[in-house]
Amino acid sequence: MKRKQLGMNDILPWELIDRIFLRVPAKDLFRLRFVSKLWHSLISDRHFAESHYNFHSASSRSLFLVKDYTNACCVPLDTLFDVAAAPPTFKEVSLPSRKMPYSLFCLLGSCRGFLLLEEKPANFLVIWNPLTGSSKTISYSHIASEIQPDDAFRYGFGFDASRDDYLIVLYWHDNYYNEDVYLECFSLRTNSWIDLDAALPKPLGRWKQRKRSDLFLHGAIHWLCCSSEDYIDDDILIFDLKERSFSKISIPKQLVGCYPIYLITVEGCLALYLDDKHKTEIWVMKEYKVSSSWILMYDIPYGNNVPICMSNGSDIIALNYTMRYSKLRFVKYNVIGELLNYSPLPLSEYYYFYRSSCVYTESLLPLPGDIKDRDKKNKTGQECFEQHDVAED
Amino acid sequence: MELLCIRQWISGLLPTWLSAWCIKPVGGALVRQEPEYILLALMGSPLKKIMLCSSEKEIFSVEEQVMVQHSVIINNMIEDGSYNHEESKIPLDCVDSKTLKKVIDYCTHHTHHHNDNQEDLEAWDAQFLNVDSNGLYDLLMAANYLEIRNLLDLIYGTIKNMIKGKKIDEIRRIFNIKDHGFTPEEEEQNRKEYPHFY
Repeated sequence: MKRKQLGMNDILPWELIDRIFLRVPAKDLFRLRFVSKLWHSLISDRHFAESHYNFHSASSRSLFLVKDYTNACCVPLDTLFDVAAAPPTFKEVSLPSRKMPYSLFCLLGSCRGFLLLEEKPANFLVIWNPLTGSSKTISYSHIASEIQPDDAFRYGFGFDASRDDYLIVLYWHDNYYNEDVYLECFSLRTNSWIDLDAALPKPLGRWKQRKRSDLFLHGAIHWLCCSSEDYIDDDILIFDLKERSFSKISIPKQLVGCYPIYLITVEGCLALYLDDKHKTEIWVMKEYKVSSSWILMYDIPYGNNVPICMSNGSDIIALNYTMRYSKLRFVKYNVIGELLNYSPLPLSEYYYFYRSSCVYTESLLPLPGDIKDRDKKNKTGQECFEQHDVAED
Repeated sequence: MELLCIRQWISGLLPTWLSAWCIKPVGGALVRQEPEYILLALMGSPLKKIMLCSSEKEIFSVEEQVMVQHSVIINNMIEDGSYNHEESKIPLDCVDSKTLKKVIDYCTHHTHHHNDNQEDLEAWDAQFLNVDSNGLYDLLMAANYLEIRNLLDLIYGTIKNMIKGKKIDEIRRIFNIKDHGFTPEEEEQNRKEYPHFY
């Protein structure tokens, strides 16, 4: 019979094939572009990549960990403690390093399936999609060479939906005794640096935080900052990417003066956690930008935790490290702070992990201005890059 | 006693000769009518039924409640009064008889068994979808046309699982994609560059 010779592409309208693809993980779709020309055009479509990312961003998250300076691994979070599922797979990923000279990477942040890496000693910032291999390298040596010490920098990485642009924000103070703070912002779409000094609220004070302290949420980048000249973080600085303007909200009074505190997101809400090695407190701002909506959601009587994400609606998954035993593992706590489960990581060298890790969702999204036939030249994260797209100032 | 139990009790009591009464002409087509309804009609408590007409002009009679619960399209038709119980039938020109019967089976089962435990329902669903690929596509298109949310999600999930983790050659085989549309040069280039995908 003639119908038996027909296949899926002949029978189903492309709208339905599209909806099927929406549910298939990004990893599979990347491979399946080569099944047929129709599948290739459906999957490579920008709008499809956008809907696909939105469909999966809350549910298919992975943790990306930089193992050492050139290697990383990626582990899916949704089935981490699922007894019925297979044991978690730790996918090895090669960072996009040049072959000569050597590169050392530090993970700074993630946004929409892209990771922001810092590449030393060349002083490059690399935006990289590990799944598609799409990447862009930006040089900031014009700034870096003048700055001492290294941790005078703070970074931010976010997406401006109104302009379909990714922005990388760097801010720093130029030497140890100088009080001035400078800010520069790189726009991927225009491939240029934007000076935002004028918009920066002063005084900003200095900070003690390590580099990874930014957070992208609700179209804005967030950092902890101090409102006065001492080292105490008591505000959150918000940089709205669309308006290109700054604002501040205050942190809960109970956390002022506590150290160390870090910004994270918990189920789409801005949150702060305090980890003083004996306990972990997680405060969540239930209503965005409403200072009075901060609540202490988790009061966990164990320290050395880096909260990662929520699971099952109320449990929290964290990375836990015990220095004494050199152990790194995933742990799950419930809302009253009880340890529910833990899952050890098969890694012996832990030192950089918990500081150089972030939650990310695999996506097929292209960088702004990516042309279609660049697709063929891009390699996946499994292979090293031959050429970089270097933007110099 | 619940109406459902009454129906089942009655159908157990019915003699086979009554089934002969159950095929009657309505508006030029032959209509199947479950025996227990005739008895209920005789008893004076009929369950409201609607008529669906497949692309092959075969008429299926099904409980209104069942279809209204599952199909947004049919629900809208009944609510806005465009369906007249006495004489109309709903023409479904995109759906053939085989598929329509399966869709009705699905909706009927899920309405009558919605209190069953999750495992049993999932097992029934798995058995229900044990059809060949073309049958699956027909079901998908029918569910899409009739806007039956849970059946759609079920089929999407099934096809997604058929795709996940498979390499390209296998996918082409499973989904019977004979002509991939790439030129021989393109195909060769792709295979060379990403051999592990195939």
